[in-house]
Amino acid sequence: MMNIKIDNKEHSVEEGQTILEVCRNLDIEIPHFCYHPGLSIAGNCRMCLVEVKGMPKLMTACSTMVQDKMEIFTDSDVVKEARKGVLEFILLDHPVDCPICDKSGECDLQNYNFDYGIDQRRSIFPKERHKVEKISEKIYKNDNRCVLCTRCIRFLDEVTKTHEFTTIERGSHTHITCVDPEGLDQNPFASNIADLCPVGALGLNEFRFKKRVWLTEHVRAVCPGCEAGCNLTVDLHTKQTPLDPNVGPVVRFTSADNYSMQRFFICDEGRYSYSGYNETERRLLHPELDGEETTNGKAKAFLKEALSSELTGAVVLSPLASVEENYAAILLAEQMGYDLYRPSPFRKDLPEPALFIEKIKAPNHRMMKLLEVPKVTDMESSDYGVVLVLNSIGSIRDNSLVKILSLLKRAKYSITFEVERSEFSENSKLALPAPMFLEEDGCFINSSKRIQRSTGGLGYPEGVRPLWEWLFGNRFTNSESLLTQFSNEKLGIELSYEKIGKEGVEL
Amino acid sequence: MSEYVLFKHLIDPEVRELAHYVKLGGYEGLKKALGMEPVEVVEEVKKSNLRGRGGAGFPCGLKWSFMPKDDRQKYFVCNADEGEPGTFKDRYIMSDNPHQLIEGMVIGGFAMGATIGYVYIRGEFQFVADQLQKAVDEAYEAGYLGKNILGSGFDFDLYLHMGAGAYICGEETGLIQSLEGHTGQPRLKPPFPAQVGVFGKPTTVNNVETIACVPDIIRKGANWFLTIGPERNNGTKIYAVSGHVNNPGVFELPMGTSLREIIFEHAGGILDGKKVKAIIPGGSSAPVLGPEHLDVAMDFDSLKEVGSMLGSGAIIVMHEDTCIVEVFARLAEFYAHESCGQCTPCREGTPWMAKIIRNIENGDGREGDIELLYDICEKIIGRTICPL
Amino acid sequence: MSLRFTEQDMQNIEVICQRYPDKKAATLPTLHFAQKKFGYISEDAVKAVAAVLNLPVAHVLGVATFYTMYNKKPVGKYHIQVCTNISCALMGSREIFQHLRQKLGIASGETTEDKLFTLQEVECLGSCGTAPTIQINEKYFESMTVEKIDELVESLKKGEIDV
Ligand SMILES: Cc1cc2nc3c(=O)[nH]c(=O)nc-3n(C[C@H](O)[C@H](O)[C@H](O)COP(=O)(O)O)c2cc1C
Ligand code: SF4
Ligand code: SF4
Ligand code: SF4
Ligand code: FES
Ligand code: FES
Repeated sequence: MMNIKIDNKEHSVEEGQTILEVCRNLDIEIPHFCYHPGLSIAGNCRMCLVEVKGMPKLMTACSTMVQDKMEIFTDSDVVKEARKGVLEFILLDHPVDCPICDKSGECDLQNYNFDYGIDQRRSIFPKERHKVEKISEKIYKNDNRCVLCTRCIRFLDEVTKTHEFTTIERGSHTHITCVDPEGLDQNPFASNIADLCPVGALGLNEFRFKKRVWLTEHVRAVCPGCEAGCNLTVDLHTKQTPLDPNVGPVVRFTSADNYSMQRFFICDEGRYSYSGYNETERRLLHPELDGEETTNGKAKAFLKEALSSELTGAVVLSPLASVEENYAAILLAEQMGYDLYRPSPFRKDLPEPALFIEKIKAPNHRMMKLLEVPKVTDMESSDYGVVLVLNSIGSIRDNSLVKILSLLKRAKYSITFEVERSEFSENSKLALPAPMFLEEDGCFINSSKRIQRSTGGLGYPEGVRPLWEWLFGNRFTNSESLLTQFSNEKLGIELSYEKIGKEGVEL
Repeated sequence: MSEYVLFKHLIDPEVRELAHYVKLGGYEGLKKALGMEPVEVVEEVKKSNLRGRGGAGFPCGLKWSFMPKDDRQKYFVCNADEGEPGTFKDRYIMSDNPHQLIEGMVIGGFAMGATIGYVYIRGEFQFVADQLQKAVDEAYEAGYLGKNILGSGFDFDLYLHMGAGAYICGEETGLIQSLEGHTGQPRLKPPFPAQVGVFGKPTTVNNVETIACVPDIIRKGANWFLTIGPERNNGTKIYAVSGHVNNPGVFELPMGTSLREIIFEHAGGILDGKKVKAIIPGGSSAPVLGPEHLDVAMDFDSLKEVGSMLGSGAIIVMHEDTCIVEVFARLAEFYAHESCGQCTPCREGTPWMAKIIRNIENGDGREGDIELLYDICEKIIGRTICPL
Repeated sequence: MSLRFTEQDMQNIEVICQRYPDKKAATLPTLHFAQKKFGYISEDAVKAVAAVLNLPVAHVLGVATFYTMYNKKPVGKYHIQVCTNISCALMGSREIFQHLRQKLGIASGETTEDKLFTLQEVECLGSCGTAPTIQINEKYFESMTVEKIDELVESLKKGEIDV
């Protein structure tokens, strides 16, 4: 540990960090464009300049390591003056067309200029204009807005190592260019450059002119696309205005930084999967008995009858469902002496490059592995009187699907907990409507055994209730109480949502 | 006439040939160095007060001593980019007295434990490089380069690397980038080249003229070098005089010769007997001096005292008919053209300044332009990666 | 890819690569080599260089466009480069440049219709003591005057001078 002073306040900080990193951890804002935690340090934008006592020049916070007894000023007059200067330089040729810019509302330049910028243009020279270009199926580029921070280039050079971008020319003629549009569209991570771009110079064609970001609500979630458990910022369309086309309710997924995992990007497959959550035609919103809509009361009565039948039972967990939902099902099995099974998760070959993408296309498979739940396909007999199957369609392999279907077909009391009408719901006596991803708080355990929390920003639709309520009535008041009990009983540690926090806990 | 340390071709025009160079004591310094401990060689250079001739005047021996003494591969790189407007000195060493540069490279390599050297030559100087390459081939044949040099067990390979038209590659980290095959965008320091230089390995970069001073320092001893030029500014210097003089050219003179002597005695005085209006004493980056400074001694410290710098020692003389605004406009355009484009202030600020000055030159200046220029300048200087 | 390096070329490039511990370092020399061979650095030339050095096209393109000596467009048989930097300007290079513009009827960066001349304004050529300096292809011509330029252009047209 070292003792340093920032803006006259003492702090004790760990060695080996840059001034910018230290300040970020202390919630002291240092404006920056080129710095990004997932990329190498470029030091080119000069926006992060700070004053360090004893140094003749201002120092770039992004590239200067803190040293013991360092005194740093992030808000002195010279520093403010320098920020103003950099912003003025950037704005010399910047169109400031925020009203038609998709980045508006989450643009670093816009925010910094508001906080630190100049009010008056001193240059009398006209701004240079370049055409907006659709550079590939996924991405468009607007050179006018580019601040040449090279984040996009560094991402493609260092992270995906696919080198589709470069700068060409030099001096004030420098601009970025894409040499390989097809490669960019095949790059499974390409769309991250739109998140990375601190301004509106790179954007997704898909999102162009679609939505003003300040009209959306942001929640943090865990991507259900695979076992990697990437963190998402989910934009939800909650406030509607006449000027605002009716999109959503899920507007987009972007990456949410996770410093503990050192992960700052998501794959395109995960990113574009958001639209699936807007399709509601097949949604199951009421219980169905023998394929006919029924009342909650009748559904409960059937459930009660099944559980008191004293027949043998089996519960099939789901790698798609949260820890809490699965735990509710486990509790039932334990209470009733039913057998527990898990389906085999669906696997997909990895793209090139794969980075952190996992073959297993389900977010919570690791939970079942941890608990050593046997595979449903290894089951010897399939004759059970009572069968409960959790929503897992789309995330399991065909042989598991076939097995589960036969279980359902043979059982006297077959019950599924399903988001949509599916082969499962159609082949069971009772189908209970399940909340989908983003409707319910819940945790997931990823491939590196990190338990992370996903927020259910949308809330339960009418008629949809969590599984524990169907099974246990008022015994649990919220999903967190299940999590706590699960961690105590199964993991031997005490977890709460607060403890798991934004970035999760490694088990 | 003073002693020629670097311009031995003025003593023997054929000195570019190995035999002639050897006759004048060539490669004696190398022999002597190879008989010394590497640290002794560094100490000797330190003692000589040899300061870098590339611009900053940094003590050469001290720079050499920064090289780590571990067993990593190390590189010694010669900066022959010669791109600073007004500068045209290194080319003559390379074409007319090339062996002295080669000898200096081998001695430096030995002193720092570098076994590979590169000479980074600006791309336009292909004809200069051809001369140097000839000498390199000769030196390989004679055993002054290559494996086991003069039976000492020391190996040193020397390669020429051509630039391709970018002034910024004269800056040492830009040069390193360019040598590695990148755009010449200077790097952040730290890490310094002595730690992480070319190909990620410890590297020292020196100017041609600096390196060419070394053989004689070793051969004749640091004390001999100290007898030339004023204290802390020792040795001879090649002054390259251009602009409005009768006899422009390069002159090797003791460091500290007065500007007046250089212009009027060596460079033949001002064209058409006109008056001096302004002088740039150290390449285009050096602040301009007026005629009142004609008696300044042309060395690092004296020029610093009058608010300018020796830089590359390139003297650009302007007589009374010169439009200074036009000169500034042209220089501002040069810097805008040569900005590598990575730092915001330099990339955006230099062309802005150039446009403003060009407007003034065209008679379209506006009130407040000068203040604005000063302000822009302040917002660029010291806030960028390199000092372009 | 329409441009190719021959076996012999590849061997020459391999020799260049030997000078460096990393092939990337051969980018500049190989681009020089390609320019000599193909006349200028077209998109195809960039790709050919990238392929022979096994480097990303993006890298080679970035380098090729950063340095001014790589011509991104075809140039005439004689590439006349006039230094208009300070020392040359003081000695009248602007007049020489203007004169050439009129004489050849082209602006900086353009090529005459007969593909004989390309005119270009360049920065200091490191030959300021013999200003004004111009470079034609690889050769320097120094202490130029308008008269000398006229003669030079004439002899170039007649093919009397080898550059
Ligand atoms: C913009 C810029 C251009 C430079 N150009 C040259 C040059 O052309 N030749 C040179 O020797 N040094 C040049 N330098 C200085 C080098 O960075 C470096 O200091 C020098 O090569 C070190 O050699 P020395 O210690 O022998 O002087 C330049 C520096 C800057 C900032
Ligand atoms: S496009 Fe965006 S990310 Fe890329 S350099 Fe420009 S501003 Fe930076
Ligand atoms: S890698 Fe997996 S978890 Fe991450 S975004 Fe893609 S699908 Fe989602
Ligand atoms: S100051 Fe200019 S030339 Fe130097 S690194 Fe920055 S942009 Fe490049
Ligand atoms: S964030 Fe430090 S220079 Fe860009
Ligand atoms: S200024 Fe023209 S060659 Fe130097």
